[in-house]
Amino acid sequence: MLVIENVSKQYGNFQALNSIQLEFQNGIYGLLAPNGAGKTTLIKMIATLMFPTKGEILYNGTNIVALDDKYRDVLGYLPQHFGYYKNYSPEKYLFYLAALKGLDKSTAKQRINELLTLVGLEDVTRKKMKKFSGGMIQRVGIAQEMLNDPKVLILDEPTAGLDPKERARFRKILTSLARDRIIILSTHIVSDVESIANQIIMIKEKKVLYQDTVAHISNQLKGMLFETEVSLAEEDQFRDNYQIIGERQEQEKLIFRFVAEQRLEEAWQEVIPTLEDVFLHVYEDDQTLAGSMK
Amino acid sequence: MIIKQELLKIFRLPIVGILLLFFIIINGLFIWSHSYIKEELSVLTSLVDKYGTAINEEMLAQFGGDYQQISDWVSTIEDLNGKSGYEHPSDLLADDEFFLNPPISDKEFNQLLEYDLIETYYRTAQDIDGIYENVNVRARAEETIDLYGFQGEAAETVRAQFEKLADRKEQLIENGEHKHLFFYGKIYKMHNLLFKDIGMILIFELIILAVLITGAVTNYEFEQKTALVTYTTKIGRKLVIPKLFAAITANTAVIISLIGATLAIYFLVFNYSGLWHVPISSYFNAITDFPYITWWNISFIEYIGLMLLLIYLVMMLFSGMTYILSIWLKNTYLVFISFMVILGLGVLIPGYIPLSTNFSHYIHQTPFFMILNPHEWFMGYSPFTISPYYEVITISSWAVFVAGLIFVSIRRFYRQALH
Amino acid sequence: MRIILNEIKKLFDWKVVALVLLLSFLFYQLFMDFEFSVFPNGRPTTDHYNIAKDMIAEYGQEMDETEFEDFKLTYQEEVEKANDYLQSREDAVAIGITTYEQFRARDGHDEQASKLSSNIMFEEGVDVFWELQARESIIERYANKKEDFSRSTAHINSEAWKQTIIDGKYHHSILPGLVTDNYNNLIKMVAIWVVISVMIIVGRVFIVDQKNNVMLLQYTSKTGRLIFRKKVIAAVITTLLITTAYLAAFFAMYRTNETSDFFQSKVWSFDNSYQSWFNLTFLQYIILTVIGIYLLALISGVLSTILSRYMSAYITLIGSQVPIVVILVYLIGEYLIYNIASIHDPKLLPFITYTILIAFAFFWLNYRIRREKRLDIL
Repeated sequence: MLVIENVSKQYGNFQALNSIQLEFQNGIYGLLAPNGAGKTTLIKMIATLMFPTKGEILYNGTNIVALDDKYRDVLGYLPQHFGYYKNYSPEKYLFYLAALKGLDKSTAKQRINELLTLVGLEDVTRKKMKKFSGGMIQRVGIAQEMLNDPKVLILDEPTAGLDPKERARFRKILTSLARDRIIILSTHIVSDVESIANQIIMIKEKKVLYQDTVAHISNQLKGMLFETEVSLAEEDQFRDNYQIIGERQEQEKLIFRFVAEQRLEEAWQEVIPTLEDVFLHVYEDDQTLAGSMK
Repeated sequence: MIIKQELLKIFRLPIVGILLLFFIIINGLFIWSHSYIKEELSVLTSLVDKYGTAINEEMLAQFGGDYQQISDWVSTIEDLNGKSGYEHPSDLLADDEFFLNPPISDKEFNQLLEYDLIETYYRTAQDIDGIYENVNVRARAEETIDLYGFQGEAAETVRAQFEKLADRKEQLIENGEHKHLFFYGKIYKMHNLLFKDIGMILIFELIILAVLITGAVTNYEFEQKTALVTYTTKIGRKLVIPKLFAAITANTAVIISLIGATLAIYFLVFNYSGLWHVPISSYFNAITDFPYITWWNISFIEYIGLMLLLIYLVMMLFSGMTYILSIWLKNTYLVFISFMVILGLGVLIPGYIPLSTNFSHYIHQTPFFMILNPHEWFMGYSPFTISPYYEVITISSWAVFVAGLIFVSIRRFYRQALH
Repeated sequence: MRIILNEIKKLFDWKVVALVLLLSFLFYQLFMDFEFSVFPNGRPTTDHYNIAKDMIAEYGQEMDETEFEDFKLTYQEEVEKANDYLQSREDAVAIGITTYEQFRARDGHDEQASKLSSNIMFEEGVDVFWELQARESIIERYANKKEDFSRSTAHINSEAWKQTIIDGKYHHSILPGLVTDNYNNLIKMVAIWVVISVMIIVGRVFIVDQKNNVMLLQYTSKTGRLIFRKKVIAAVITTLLITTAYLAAFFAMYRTNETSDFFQSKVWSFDNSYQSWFNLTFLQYIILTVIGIYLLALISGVLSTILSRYMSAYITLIGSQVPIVVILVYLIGEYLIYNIASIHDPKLLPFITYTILIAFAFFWLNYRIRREKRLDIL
């Protein structure tokens, strides 16, 4: 069990995270937040790359800083832009990392073969990585983090560069792995975690906003989310009055998906909220979101 | 605008300023370590104040009149054995009896040492005509040919160049370029200090700076992993052209700062007042029996200007070569080492060429060889650089060569796959 | 160990190694080849060198006063040979030069005499005349050794120290200066080149992983922040490997200069202007310089490693290495290797300088190791 105990992080005068309290059991956790919310800072602290200014992170009751290599031995980390040597083959590269992870040679050899097969790179084990596509590189990254059979798995934007088929396969792998380990998946692509995450963590304004299941979080908007047709003439007024979460155009009309306290008009149609709706609702006033929203 | 952005990338790196400062300090220390001769040099500047630099009959008469007083004073001094009647300060100083226990006050002894220097200038000034009569340029040609082992065609070329130098020597004697007072070369070697020692130090420091700056500007996008973004913008791969100009601009700034600061220190330490317009071919500049003879009448200040110009042009060539290497290698570390390899090869290869055909002369016409003797630029001195147009030919032919390679490399870069 | 091995392998990147080897060759050709191919350089240096070897064969590593008398006798015999030779030459007899004495005292402006000497010395290169020149300089130096000693040690106040040198008959040693000069010129270049090579190869130890973003994976692996120390160890081993390789190559070449006859001679010799604070044999002197080179290599290796961790751009890395190289090269040429422990420098100067350099590198490294433990990796 991994516990984030009242953790704050400060860079000089800048407060990046404030009193974060979280608990992780085995399972998949989706860490959802727009860029700049402190997501990366949190992940880097769990990965021991950074240290909390206040509070501590406990693994099975012991501070991870004190656990030192015992903790890192059960840690798997896939950074967003993970590094590799262009002139190395996946095999050579994984052998290098296996050494860093303290695996002995024969175990490493076996693990590397298994993992390269698991991620579908068994045909290119000895090819130099400089010729690899983004998806192939990402799969090497996934193999890399699995090398030491980690109990805590951190993935930072892991599906970037994967095609839909690879994404599906990746989700399947994660689900099967999650039975006996903690998987923390940081992303701002809601669909990546919606179907597989046991719990979703949302961070807003340097604090944890939610740590809950997808269903519970979605329920936050139950009875408050509607869709309706709006004519072009009414459009501006409507926009001013309600928080629009989605819109699409059908012939001369606009169809808005929006949040309201209660149903005010017959024409409004109540819809079942999704995680994405909540995400957009929560970060609506967040300027950083404007750019990254789809 | 883009050039400005590219320049900012370089000048935002503190290391450029730090290195520049480090080099200026090094140069300052080097100059300072020679400053002990400053006092003695002032003997000459005060002579120049009195008589001007041109040595002619009128000047010698005036100088001789003053020297007579020194001579008179010297003749009154006796050593402990009662020996006297010396004519020149140097005779007196050569007398061990006197030198070890001078029967005069310290002040007078220092005065005597100064007179000894004045004597050197006076008697040398008198002797110049005779010395130049004995300078045998043709014999020098044969000695040089023997020393280096030139044969056949290559030896003929050396002879022909020295033949031209012989004419130039006659012309020089006619217009009296050699007859000017200057710091006495055989003692102080000021020409070598400034143009050879400091010149070489400057050149090698500037090479380091130029290669680093050019490499870093050109490789910047690859090393910062911004290549894919920048080279797909509207300006796209043409961005390498403003980069070239940014490198040139940055190098120009660095060259001016380093040379400017170094020369400022030099001329603050050494007082050259009254000497700026003395021809470099002055006999006093010579450090061996074969004097420096420039192909044209070049004054000291003009020579400095020419040296600056040549260093600047050579650095532009080196910067261009670095630019080419960078376009191909895309890694400043490799570029830096590769440039050093090229520099080493450039210095070494000409030495392997047999000295029997004129090819041995052409192969020395490289900026790599040229930078080895900055104090002999525009002079008839060493066999490989003796030609009057050696510097012009070397710079211009290599400029064409490097420009061509730059053109080819850029064209190639436009069509290259970027990862 | 496997991690360290991996890091060492990464340092020996073939492109960099190939360029460094090429540079080494150029450096050798430009700055060292001369000291090998023309050693001993010309005449009478070669004669001097051969005579010194003969002296060792005859007198051992030292020549005492009685042996010196014998040496002078040999000189006389050689003079006789030269006399006989002159008398057998018609052109010599014709101008009245029939003894070596007369040959030496010839008038430099006399054209015929000059021609004769030029024929004997240069055209025909008659050995005995060159050897006599060499023997004369040896005799002269031996005879004047006391005066030379008091002149070269005039700046030293310790009379007691001077007395130990005189009592110890330090100047009886047979070791021509040309041998130590040659070695000094060479070993100085070796030291400079070792420093530069180490800087180039070891300088990549962190910067490459930093640029490739591999650091995040290294720091979160089980090894974690220990990677810093492992890389330092890898850098140190690499430094030692490079240094050993260069020194091995150098001494293999140096063997061809065939100076081993002098290894047991004390460097303090009547025939050598290099004078040390310590009574070393030539071999001990060589060992001293080798130790110096290892220390310099380690200093530059460690400094390069630290700089490599700080710098994220190659220009900054090279730019920061340049001043270190300049300073080390200067010190190597002054007293850290070249003429190390000479009496012209204060006795403790090399020792203090090495200590300062080592302490500087060590404390900086230690500081960095401690900082590494609690450093946020951005």
